[in-house]
Amino acid sequence: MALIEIKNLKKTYSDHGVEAPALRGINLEIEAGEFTAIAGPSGSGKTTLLNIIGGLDRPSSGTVIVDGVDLSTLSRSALADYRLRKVGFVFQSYNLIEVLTTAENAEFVLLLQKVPKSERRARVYEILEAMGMAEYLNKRPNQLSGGQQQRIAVARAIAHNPRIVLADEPTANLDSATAAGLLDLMRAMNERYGVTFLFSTHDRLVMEKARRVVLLRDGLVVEDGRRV
Amino acid sequence: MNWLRIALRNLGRNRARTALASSMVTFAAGLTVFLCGLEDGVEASSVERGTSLFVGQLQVTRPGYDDRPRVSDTIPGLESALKAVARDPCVFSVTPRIEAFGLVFGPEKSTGARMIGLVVSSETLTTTLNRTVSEGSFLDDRDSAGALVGPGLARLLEVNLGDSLTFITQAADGSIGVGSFVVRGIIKSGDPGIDNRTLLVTAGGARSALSLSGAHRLVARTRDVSAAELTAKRLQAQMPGLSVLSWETYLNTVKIMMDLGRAYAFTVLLVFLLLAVAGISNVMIVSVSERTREMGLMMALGARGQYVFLTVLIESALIGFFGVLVGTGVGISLIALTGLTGIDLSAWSESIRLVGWPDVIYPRFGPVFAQGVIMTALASFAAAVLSGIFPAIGAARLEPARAMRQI
Repeated sequence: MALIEIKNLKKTYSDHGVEAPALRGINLEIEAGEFTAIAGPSGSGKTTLLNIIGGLDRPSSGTVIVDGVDLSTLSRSALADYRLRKVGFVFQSYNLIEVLTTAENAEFVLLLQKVPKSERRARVYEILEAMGMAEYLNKRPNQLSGGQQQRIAVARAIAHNPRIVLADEPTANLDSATAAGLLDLMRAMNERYGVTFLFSTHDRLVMEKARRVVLLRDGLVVEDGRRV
Repeated sequence: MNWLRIALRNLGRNRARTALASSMVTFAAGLTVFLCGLEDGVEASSVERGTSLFVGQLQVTRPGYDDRPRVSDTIPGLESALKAVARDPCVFSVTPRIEAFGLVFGPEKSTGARMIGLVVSSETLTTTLNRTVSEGSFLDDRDSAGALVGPGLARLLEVNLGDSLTFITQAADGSIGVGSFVVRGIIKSGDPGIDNRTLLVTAGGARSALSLSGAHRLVARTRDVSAAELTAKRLQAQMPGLSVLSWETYLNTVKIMMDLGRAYAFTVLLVFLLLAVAGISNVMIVSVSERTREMGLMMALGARGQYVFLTVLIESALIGFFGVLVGTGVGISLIALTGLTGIDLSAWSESIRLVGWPDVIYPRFGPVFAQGVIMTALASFAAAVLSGIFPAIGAARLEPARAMRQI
């Protein structure tokens, strides 16, 4: 059984009576440990798909089963708990909490999980050290570059050993060298910790780093290519 | 890291705004605490002015005496009653009085008046009558023929210093009581009842005229005017056969003025609190709306609405806490400072006398302060927390994905 099973997923937004379909019937399976890019032009439905898998949004119809759980059956608080336990997020921007230090941001999800402080610190230090970010432990987000901030976001996303990490255009605001570095880091974390990575992008360079690329257009999967 | 620390850091993001919100609580709490001290000062001064001249802060009589005063209704067991009152730790001094209504005759004219016999040695400790002498001298216990009159009575009787007076009434034994006195002094008390209708004599002179040995009334001065009512109740329990009243009962107008003053102080508190609530709410709503994306991020990461709610509430509670702390400190300092220097209102003396206020007010830490400081602290803190509830609910209801899309 796949880690993520999506069947005939549809999502339509309506605004003042005008309906805008974002997903028109997606069928997709993601296995545990994958490092997969959801690619496609703007408006193809990448963010909507990731939001629904992440429990941030609900589908109009169809089913999304993650780790054996049908997300449509979960209440608001159960969805929050699902996000807390099973998902790690990396967003495009405004990813970190301004008033927290690097270490505090990285351990934020562990704090929500009520993990003891010593355990949180040890786990975060291990990850930040593996990323070469240990010296920035006590820096605030505004003291870090965009690439460093995204690295901290990745650290936060994997700190609690989630089943999947969802990254929505994580390299959109980075230059190509930094973007490549971040992708290499994500892949290293994918290999080191066995976490499933699912990220959206419209950047060809980023797609090349993925092991599998799922191409969306107008809310439909138009291509599903696997690489070794 | 904990939620308190996160809330503290959030408050530190925009220190000017946090200071502004906190200063609203500081202002409300500080001014209200000071007003309570001011009210205490006004009350103490009003009671002092109202009681020190003549009526005292406690009075002991035979039950029913004030409704129907009779010369024969003296206090039974006078010595033991005097001792009981004097022994009370809240009583500073006590003095007996002999009273009678009758006719007073001058060389040419006569009029109705009340005669009051005083024990000068204890009267001077209990009231300030002796400071009202405008001509001549005050009474002397050894001079049983001495008498004092006010300018009104002196004018009615057409008497001056050294003139003779005769007081005639029914004595305690039913016979005609006659007292012969000489005017030793003129007093100007400012109280029309004393200045126009009262003949003050020594206890010895009054007893001799009335053929009695006791006294009709004990008048006492307490160490703390605000403790008079409690002291009266305590003494009443000890002396069930007598009537013990405090100024709160027989000086009803002062009590009403005090109640009005307290009601005014608490109305002011309420208005200030409403202003503080509006101010803090405004600040918290702006603060929350600025952080909508960040709160959306927290909730996307798995924080439940209640955590976000709590963070916002802790922030407003902290604003309230610091505001109350500083405000109470400022209020107490102001009371202490002005309590020493006094607040001179003599420029408005005409108006303030109308409401019974003295020319100079000395704020103090009295019962209104004791009650008000706790109430103000609790109410200000509660107001600050309440101010945060509305924005906190708004924050807790955010849809994470939508919140994160906001700029």
